[in-house]
Amino acid sequence: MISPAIRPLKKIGKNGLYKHRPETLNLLEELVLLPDGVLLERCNIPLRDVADYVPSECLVYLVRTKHGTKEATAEKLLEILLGRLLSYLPKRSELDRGPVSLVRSNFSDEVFSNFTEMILGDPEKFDDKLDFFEFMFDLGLKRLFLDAKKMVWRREKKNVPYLVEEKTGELSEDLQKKLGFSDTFDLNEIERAELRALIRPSMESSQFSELQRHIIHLRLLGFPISSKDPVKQTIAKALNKSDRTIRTHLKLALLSLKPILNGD
Amino acid sequence: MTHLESNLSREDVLDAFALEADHGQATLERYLRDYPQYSEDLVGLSLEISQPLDFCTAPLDGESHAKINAVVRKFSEATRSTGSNSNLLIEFKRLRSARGSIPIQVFSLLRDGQVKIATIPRAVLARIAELIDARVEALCEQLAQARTLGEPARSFKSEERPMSPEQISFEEALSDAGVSPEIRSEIMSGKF
Repeated sequence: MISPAIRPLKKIGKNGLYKHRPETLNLLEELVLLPDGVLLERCNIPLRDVADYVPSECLVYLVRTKHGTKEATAEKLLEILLGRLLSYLPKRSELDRGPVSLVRSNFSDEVFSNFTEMILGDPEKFDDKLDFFEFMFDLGLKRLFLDAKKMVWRREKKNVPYLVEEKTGELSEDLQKKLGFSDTFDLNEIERAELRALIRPSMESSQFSELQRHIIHLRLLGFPISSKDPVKQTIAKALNKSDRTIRTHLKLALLSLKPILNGD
Repeated sequence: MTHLESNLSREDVLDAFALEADHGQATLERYLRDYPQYSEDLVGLSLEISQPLDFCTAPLDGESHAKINAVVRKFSEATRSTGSNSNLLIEFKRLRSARGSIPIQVFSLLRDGQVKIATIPRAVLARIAELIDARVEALCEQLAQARTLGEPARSFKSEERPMSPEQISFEEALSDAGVSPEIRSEIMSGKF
């Protein structure tokens, strides 16, 4: 039996027109021929390593095109897709501990709302952002995560205590004493293997501000904080902050990890 | 970098970065050099990509099912193209670029008629009307109709408590969405 043509992607990016990846296209040609019941059964498999698993790229295509399926089947497919999306997001019930919970559950709401707004608006006006999800679903999620975090951080920034003087990049003397800051503090501490192992999993935790997470990430990738060479890419340049501000925030981030390092 | 590439939009640059085969220092450095205007986003995306994607295999809870059901209901309504509720949806979508500090879930509540219209300050209505290029009266009419069209999550069947269909005040909607008191007062005076 000859498969009906798979609707191509329309999004045009830096490297031209997006096209379904061959593995997605091959599977879609197979899936659109299945009876609704069998299709749903396959799409219901939640784990990637189970045979017959249907990748989310295909699910997005099937939901958007309703390719020959009944209305009720399209709705079931959307249910499965949204269920998968929620399984990638932190849940409110798991997070109702301390002030961070709100930030993270708002993040989940923001991602879920942004994705569903795209899906709901798509029948009226083709949304080529969804093409990216048919191309590489996981990376589409990462893009949504970025936008949602930015939005949540921007909205809630005023709730975060502002510890560092923006002009000088310095902490107040009082706070420096309280935190046990000293000039001899070793910024290269982040290079230590055990700290590197510890720091990655802690990146999503409450103790770091958005700026601190960005600084640590760039440091782990190998960027220098500053450089005498004006052409060299540095953390200070990438984040458009003074060297001193970067150093202060890196110190603050490392200090917040000290209790964990010391096993306290 | 060609002249064409230097004019790439934020979305195109971030998509292209996401699709690079390697996300190490050299790749990020190249993008930071070529697109310094998006440096903060490039660093943020690079960080997101470096983090593992956690998939929770536990069954979804009642709240998740309720959220999904509400969307599926709207999806079937939208595909059957039912009048003013979907018009509002499209108009609010246009607001996405200008919505600034108002979380998208607040617009969803407005669209679904879950916010008491009388609690929305005139300045807010005027600002939204201005953004969607409508008259305030027409906007109020659509919001009122949304109340009758948007029955929230009624199809939810479970022993767990479904989402409340009660209307809330506009300020409560902002507060529930985590908007800080300072920003809330700016929004309430129509500054967004």
